[in-house]
Amino acid sequence: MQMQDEAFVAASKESIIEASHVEKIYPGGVHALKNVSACVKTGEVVVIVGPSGSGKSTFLRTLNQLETINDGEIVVDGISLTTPGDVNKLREEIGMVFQSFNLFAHLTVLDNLCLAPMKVRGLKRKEAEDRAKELLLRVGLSDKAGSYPSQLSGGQQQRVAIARALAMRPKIMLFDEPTSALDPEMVGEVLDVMKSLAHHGMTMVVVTHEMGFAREVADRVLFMESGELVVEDTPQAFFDTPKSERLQKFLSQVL
Amino acid sequence: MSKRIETHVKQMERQPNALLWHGLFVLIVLAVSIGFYKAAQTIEYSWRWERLPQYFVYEAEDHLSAPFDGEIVLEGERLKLENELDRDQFIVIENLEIVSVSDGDLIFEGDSLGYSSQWTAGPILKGVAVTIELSLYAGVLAIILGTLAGLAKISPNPMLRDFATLYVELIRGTPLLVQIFIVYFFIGTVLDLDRFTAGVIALAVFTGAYVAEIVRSGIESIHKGQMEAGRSLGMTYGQTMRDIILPQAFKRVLPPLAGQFINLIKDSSLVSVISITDLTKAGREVVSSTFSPFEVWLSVALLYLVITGVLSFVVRRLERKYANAR
Ligand SMILES: Nc1ncnc2c1ncn2[C@@H]1O[C@H](COP(=O)(O)OP(=O)(O)OP(=O)(O)O)[C@@H](O)[C@H]1O
Ligand SMILES: [Mg+2]
Repeated sequence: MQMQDEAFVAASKESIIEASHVEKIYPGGVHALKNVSACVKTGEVVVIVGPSGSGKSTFLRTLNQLETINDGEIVVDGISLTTPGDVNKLREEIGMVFQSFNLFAHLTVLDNLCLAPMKVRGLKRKEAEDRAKELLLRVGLSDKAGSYPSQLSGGQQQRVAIARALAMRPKIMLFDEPTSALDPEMVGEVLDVMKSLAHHGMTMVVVTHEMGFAREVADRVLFMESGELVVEDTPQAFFDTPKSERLQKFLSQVL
Repeated sequence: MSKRIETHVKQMERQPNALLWHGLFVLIVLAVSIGFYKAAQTIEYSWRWERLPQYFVYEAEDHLSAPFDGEIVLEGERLKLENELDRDQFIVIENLEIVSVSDGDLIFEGDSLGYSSQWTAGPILKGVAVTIELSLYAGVLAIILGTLAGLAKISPNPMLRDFATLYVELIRGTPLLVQIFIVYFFIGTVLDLDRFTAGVIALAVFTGAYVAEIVRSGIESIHKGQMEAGRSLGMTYGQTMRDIILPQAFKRVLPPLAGQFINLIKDSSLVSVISITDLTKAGREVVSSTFSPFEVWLSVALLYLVITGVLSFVVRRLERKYANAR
C-alpha cells in the first residue's frame, strides 16, 4: 500500500486518470474493489491482469462510470467522477471495447460507426461517413461497411467495435478482455489493431489474459486479486521478478 | 424459434402424406358445414340472403325540391322553374338523372322536381368504417401510451415504476366492459366527452396496458451490453433507448403486438354498449329490421375476419422486411 501511494503521488502531475482509495460494493453485497488507487498517464498503456472475479472489469467500468463507486475518488481528464456532473460529456472522451463486442445489431457496420459521432458530436452524415471509412480502412475492414454485425466473424466484429469507439476521437480507450470471446486464430488480428493504436500514442487501459501483449505493449502492468490492487510494475519486473507471492502463484498458473 | 422446432420435429417423424391429411381436413369441415345447414333447415329458418346487400350499399335518391311556388317552362332544351310572382326568379333544372316534371306543371314549394341516385354505404359498411376508425385511433394511442408505460416500468425512477405498475394492474384486473362504462359515464360526463372519443380512450387505455407489458419484455430481451455500448459512446439514456434499444425491441415485439391489435379490433365491438354504431351495433340494427339474424351475424363475423386478416397480412410483410434487414 505504501509503495502504491508514493507512485500515485509522483505520477499525479501528468495523469489523465487518477483513482484513489476506490471502494465498490455491489448491491448484492460483493465487495468488488477494496481501496484501489492507480493512475494512468497520457499516452500510457496500462494492462490489468488477475484471476477471474478479482474486480478487473469492475475497476475498468468505474473509469467511465458504467459502475458507480461507493467511496474514494476518480478523476479523469481533470473531471471528478464522484461529483455528479455531466457524465456523458466525459464518456465522449473515453472509448470502451467489450468482451462481447456489443455492436448495434440492427445497424450496418458503417452506421455503427456513424451513430454516436452524429448524435453526440453533431457531425453531418457526410463527415461521419468519411471518418468511419477512414477508420474501417485502418482496421482492415473497408469492404464490410455495408454488412450487418451478424454477418461478420468475431475478430471482425471486435475490430469494428474498436473502430466504433475510435470514431468519437476519444482521449482514452478502455478494453475489457477484448479477445476472450474470440477463436484463437482471430486473437492476433485484434491485438494487432490494439498494438498499432498503442504505437500511435493512445492512452489505453486493457484488461486481458494475453500475457504476451502485456509484456510487449504495456508500459505498466497491474495485478488485481479479490478486489485489491496487489502489484503495479513495469512489464519486465512484473513478469521476470514478481514482487508478491500471490502474483508468483498467479503467473505460474497462467504462463 | 417455433419454425426451428417445427422443422426439427418434421425431421424426426416419418413424413405423413400431406395431401391425404389436408383432404381429410377439408372433408370434415364440409361435413360439419352441411350438418349446420341441415340443422338450420329443421328449425325452419328461411334464409334470405337477398335482403342483405342493401344494408351494405344502396342507391340513395337525391331529390331536388322546389324552393318556391312556380311554373315549369321549357326554354330551348332546358326546363326552368319560374316564380309565379316574380318572373325574374327562376332555377334551371339540370344535372338530374330523372326529371319528374314537364312543361306547364304547377309546382308548390317543397315538391320534388326530380332526383339523381347515388351509391351510398349502408349501415353495415358504415359500421365497418367506424370499427376501423375506432381501432386505428385507439391503436395509435395505445402504442404511444404503452411505450411510455413500458419505458416507465423499467425506468430507474421508482415513482415512474410505481405509476406504470398501478396503471397496468388496474387495467388488467378489471373487465373492459366496466372500463368503457366508467370512461363514458363518469370521466366522459366530467370532461364532456362524446361517445366516440370515450370509446377510443377506453380502448386505448385498455390496450395500452397490454402493450406496456409487451414493450417492457421486448426491451428487457435486448442484451444490456447494447445500452452499455451506447452509453459508453456518450449517448444519453434517451438517445440510446430511441436509436438503439427500441428499434431492436420493436422488431422482436412485432408478433405479440400484432396479436394485441387483433384483440383490439375484436374488443372494439364492446363499445356498442355506449351506442357507438360500430360493426356489431350495425349488425344488431340490421337484424332488428330484417329479422335475419343468421345471415347478418355470419356476415358480421366474416367482416371482422377480413379486417383482422388484412392486419395479420400487413404485419407478416413487415416482419419479413425486418428479418431481411438483419
Ligand atoms: N453487476 C454485478 N452485481 C453484483 N456482483 C457483481 C456484478 N458484477 C460483478 N460482480 C462481482 O464482483 C466481483 C468482481 O467482478 P469482476 O467482473 O469485476 O471480475 P473480473 O476480474 O472482471 O473477472 P473476469 O476475469 O471473470 O471477468 C465478482 O465477485 C463478481 O461476482
Ligand atoms: Mg471481467
